[in-house]
Amino acid sequence: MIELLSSGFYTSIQDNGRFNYTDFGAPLSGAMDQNLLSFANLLVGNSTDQAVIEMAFIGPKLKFTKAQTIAISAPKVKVFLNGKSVAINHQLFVKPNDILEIKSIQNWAYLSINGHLISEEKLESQSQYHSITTNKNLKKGDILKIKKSQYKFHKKHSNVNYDMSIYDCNTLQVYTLPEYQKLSRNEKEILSTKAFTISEKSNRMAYQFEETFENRLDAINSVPVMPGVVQLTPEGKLVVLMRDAQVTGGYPRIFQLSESSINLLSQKPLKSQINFEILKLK
Amino acid sequence: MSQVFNKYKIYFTSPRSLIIVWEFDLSSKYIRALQVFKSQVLSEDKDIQFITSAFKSILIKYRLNNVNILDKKKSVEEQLNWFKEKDLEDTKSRLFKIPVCYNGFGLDLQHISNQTKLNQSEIIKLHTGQVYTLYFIGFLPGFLYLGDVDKRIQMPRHQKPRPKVEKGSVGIAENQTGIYPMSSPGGWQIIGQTPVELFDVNQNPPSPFQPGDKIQFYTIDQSEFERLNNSEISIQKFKHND
Repeated sequence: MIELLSSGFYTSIQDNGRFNYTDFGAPLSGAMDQNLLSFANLLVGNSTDQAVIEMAFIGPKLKFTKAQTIAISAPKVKVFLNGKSVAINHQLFVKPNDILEIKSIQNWAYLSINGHLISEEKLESQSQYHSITTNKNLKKGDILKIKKSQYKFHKKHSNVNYDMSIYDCNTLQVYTLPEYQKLSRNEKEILSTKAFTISEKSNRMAYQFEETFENRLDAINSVPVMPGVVQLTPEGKLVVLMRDAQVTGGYPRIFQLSESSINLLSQKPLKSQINFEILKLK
Repeated sequence: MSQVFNKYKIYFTSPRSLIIVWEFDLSSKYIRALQVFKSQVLSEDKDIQFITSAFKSILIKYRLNNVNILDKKKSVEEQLNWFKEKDLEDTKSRLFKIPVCYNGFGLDLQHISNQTKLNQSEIIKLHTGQVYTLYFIGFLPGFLYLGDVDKRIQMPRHQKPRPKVEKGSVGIAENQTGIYPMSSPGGWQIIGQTPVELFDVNQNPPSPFQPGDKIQFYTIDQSEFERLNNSEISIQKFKHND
């Protein structure tokens, strides 16, 4: 068992998402950084889609009651086991009564545990979301149980690597969406040459940019949208839909981020700057 | 039918996703056709990760394996060419009659009355007089987008959304009317509230509604609202097959 002695800033259970209910208006949800979800699971010998604990900015303080194989993955994070700094992006072995503290995360970190993290499953996913699961995130005092893996885990077999330098990249790869064509030549020029600043208003639903755009395109009939869609709001702000975004939207669509750029953007520090690189399909 | 349904455009939004947009008029028949087509596509291609539909379009997202999006487009076009009217035969339009208490819950009835010069009972009569088509479910889990609202009571959204709209609230936004399945911030003009549970994650499917269904509202008083609110009555009870 794992007990949350403190909850951290925003700690929730996430897996790879809730796919079969978008037509009922349920967001996809799932880990913000899907690459790290896979990596964290592989480090402890799990399949890549097992539910993990997602933590933002300031992580929780946890107490373990059993020996477990765990891992914490993030581009940058400080982890302390019984007060001593330990390796990240690496398997760790905890003993009964060990206390784990996770601090200074950029932006999302993942705690994976060998075996199956037991939690409420709603609409075929364990990902927490406010109107679908009973709680939208984990709270102080929550106790999580782990179902042992049926496979024996060999320490030496877990030899996976992941190049964290990809998070230093400041370029988001995008494809153009229909309403992009309605922008002026000058505005298209701005989009492909200027840097955009990630707003502090960003969250699991959407990341915003601080810059204001002159253009006010008309609203469109609601269309299906998905994570990575960049919309232009009536206030002239560019907004990137993230994992907990609505499944339909009526704002003009400018870009679609590539899968890896969604993961990259999720981890870029707030207030930092990015550029768009337009890729051509075909 | 097929000729109308075959007027569409397909475009890629990424190497693993495409959107199909139809040009049909928003009638119940074509909305149902879109749903039937969507189910067919979903059942025939294991590479699909999810499909989302809205109004006249569907988004198909494929899994992260080596999908060739050009091949996928071809296969979708082929399925569209084969799609025939007979596929719709077993999907009759269903009618749901949903109870709404306007009295005491219609936070914006007075505002609409001021704007339209209609009195409140005329507004309610116009709202309950229409049989609406369910266009799609979106915005919130289980939120129904219904249309079209009688022109005389069409109202824009509030400029500033309310921080909290109560669960079950029935609202108007332009030519659409909708029901908040859960409490949420929201900008629709609120005219009443239903005591009926519209979205239940413990049921599969979590909502009994499908785009293309017909929905009509009827007036209940506050004591009936309380009675229904305290009973665990299933939304299925409000279904009328026609």
